[in-house]
Amino acid sequence: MGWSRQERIEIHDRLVAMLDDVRKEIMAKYKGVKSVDVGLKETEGKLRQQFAFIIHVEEKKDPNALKPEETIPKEIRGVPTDVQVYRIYTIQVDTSAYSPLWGGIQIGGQGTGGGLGTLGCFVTLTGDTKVHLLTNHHVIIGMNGAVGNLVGHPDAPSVCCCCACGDIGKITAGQVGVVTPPVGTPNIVDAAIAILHGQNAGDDEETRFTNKIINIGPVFGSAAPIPGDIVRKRGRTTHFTEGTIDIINHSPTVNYGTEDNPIHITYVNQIRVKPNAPYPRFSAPGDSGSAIVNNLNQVVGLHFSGSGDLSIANRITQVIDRLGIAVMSSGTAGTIPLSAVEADALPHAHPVTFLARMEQQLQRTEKGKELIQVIRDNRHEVLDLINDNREVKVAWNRYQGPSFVGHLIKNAREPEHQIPRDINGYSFHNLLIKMSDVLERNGSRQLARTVEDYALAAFNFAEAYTGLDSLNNLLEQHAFCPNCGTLNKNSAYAR
Amino acid sequence: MKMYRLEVLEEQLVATPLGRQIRDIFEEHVEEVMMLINHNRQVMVIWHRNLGPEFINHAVRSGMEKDFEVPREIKGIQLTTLLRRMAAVLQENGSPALARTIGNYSVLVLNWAQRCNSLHQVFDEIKKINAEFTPGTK
Repeated sequence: MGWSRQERIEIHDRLVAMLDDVRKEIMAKYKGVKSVDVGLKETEGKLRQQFAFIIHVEEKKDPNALKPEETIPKEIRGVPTDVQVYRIYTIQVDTSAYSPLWGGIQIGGQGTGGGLGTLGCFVTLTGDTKVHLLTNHHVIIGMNGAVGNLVGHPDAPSVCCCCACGDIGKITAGQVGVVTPPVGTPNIVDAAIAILHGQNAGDDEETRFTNKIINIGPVFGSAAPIPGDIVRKRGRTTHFTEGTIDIINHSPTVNYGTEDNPIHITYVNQIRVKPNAPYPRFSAPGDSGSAIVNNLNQVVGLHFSGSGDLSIANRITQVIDRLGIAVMSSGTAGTIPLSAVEADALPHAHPVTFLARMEQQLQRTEKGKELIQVIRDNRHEVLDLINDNREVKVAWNRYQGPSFVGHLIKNAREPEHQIPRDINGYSFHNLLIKMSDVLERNGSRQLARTVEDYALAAFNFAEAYTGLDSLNNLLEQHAFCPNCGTLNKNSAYAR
Repeated sequence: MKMYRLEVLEEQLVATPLGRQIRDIFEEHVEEVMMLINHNRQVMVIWHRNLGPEFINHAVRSGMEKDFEVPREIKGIQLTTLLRRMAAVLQENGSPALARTIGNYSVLVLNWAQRCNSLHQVFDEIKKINAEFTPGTK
């Protein structure tokens, strides 16, 4: 169907507005229904570009054996239904070991009984600059740990009378369904943070880190998830995997005990992820605590549970809210205060880094900030179209979009590098003309309006662009009006 | 109301380096563009859907009557939108040479369409530039 991201958000929000009434109606009318969500419909084992009410039942019965009044209809209020078997999920902790202090590495908590998981990403407390690691509560605290305990890498810290070997930080806060929420508070996060050593007076050693996730690259803050998002994670068990979010308001029941002595906790508003080919699973035991990122390397979820090929994660927005934190961003000025790679020194081969540096440049002027807002309002949709819409994807590749971006990135790193006028017979302007056309026709109304308003300005900038440093000069000297897009008297052809 | 014949304007145009350059480009591609507009379905649809014939009539009239101005918008379609969409469909369906020319000169043409209200004003712009246009110069 090729929905843009904005369209998916709009459709999802419309259905969520109906969900409470639909859930009450279905659970009152049909036996064996455990929960109802809004998500992507699955047929023949594949996720479709179609939203549905996902109805989780204890047991899927043969329709021929049911009476008409026992059969869940194929459609409710005009929305398709998808009946799925309800699962109990397990927490995922394992014992293997590997690499240095990045996101995606193995860690363990003091007093957790040897269970290990994954360091998700790095965060700061709201209003503070001290760096913490973020992972699951059950990875570093669990049933027997506590705030104030140490966190170790690659294993849980071995504490003897004289030192705590291998420790990298101290737990400062955590919240999980089993232990912390006050009565009546919905269970929505399984998360904990630990402050890295070296940031307080008296600390013996400084823990070095880099605001990156192995195999994924720099992290750029956080964002809200939406069904249909293609996401990635790096965990200490299954390493790098890719999946698709199909539900973001899932109500899973998670077993925090054992099969013989289960402790079932039901969560609400959780993300569910299904693996994309060629990955048979998105996660496995030991990946608990992994940060789940979208295509812009923004964290959207904190993985904590799974069953078979399904993975469950907290929405990062709720983790942020509950713990009072902010996910660190490599692209925002003023962050990364401690032992981290400075934003300017980040590997420049990654296109997301180029965008971050462009944003840094533009933030310095009012007009630049205006342009940033235009980009922010539309970039998710544009990237979704480039990735998911066939016509846009073909145009982008045929007109050498990736190659031109590669040259822009190299020019940002090496100003003496010339951006070629054309590649394989296509000029940068050919690319811009084609992309303005396909984006206008395949995007949302808002995107079409933006293209109409800013296309000529974009063409003019491309004509005069010499590098990242010229961006603000272009905006000041070659002032553009979004309605007319013309350059002023300093332009090349207004002599 | 003074009437100008297009031939008079053409004489003025080719008196300048940029004017001669534009005339040469026009002669190189006009047949191909006309063929595409008349015989290529994709090009034909874009041309008519974006009111190409209406705009071209106004443009020609603006060359014949000095005080006549081309409307910026007709029935919700802007002139620059027509030109941008035609550039996209012509570069997609035309020869590599046409695509190259569109890539090199589209910015120039779009800016004229935005800044000028008539062919006379475009020709005045051309006369001011005492040099050929080289794509990519600042």
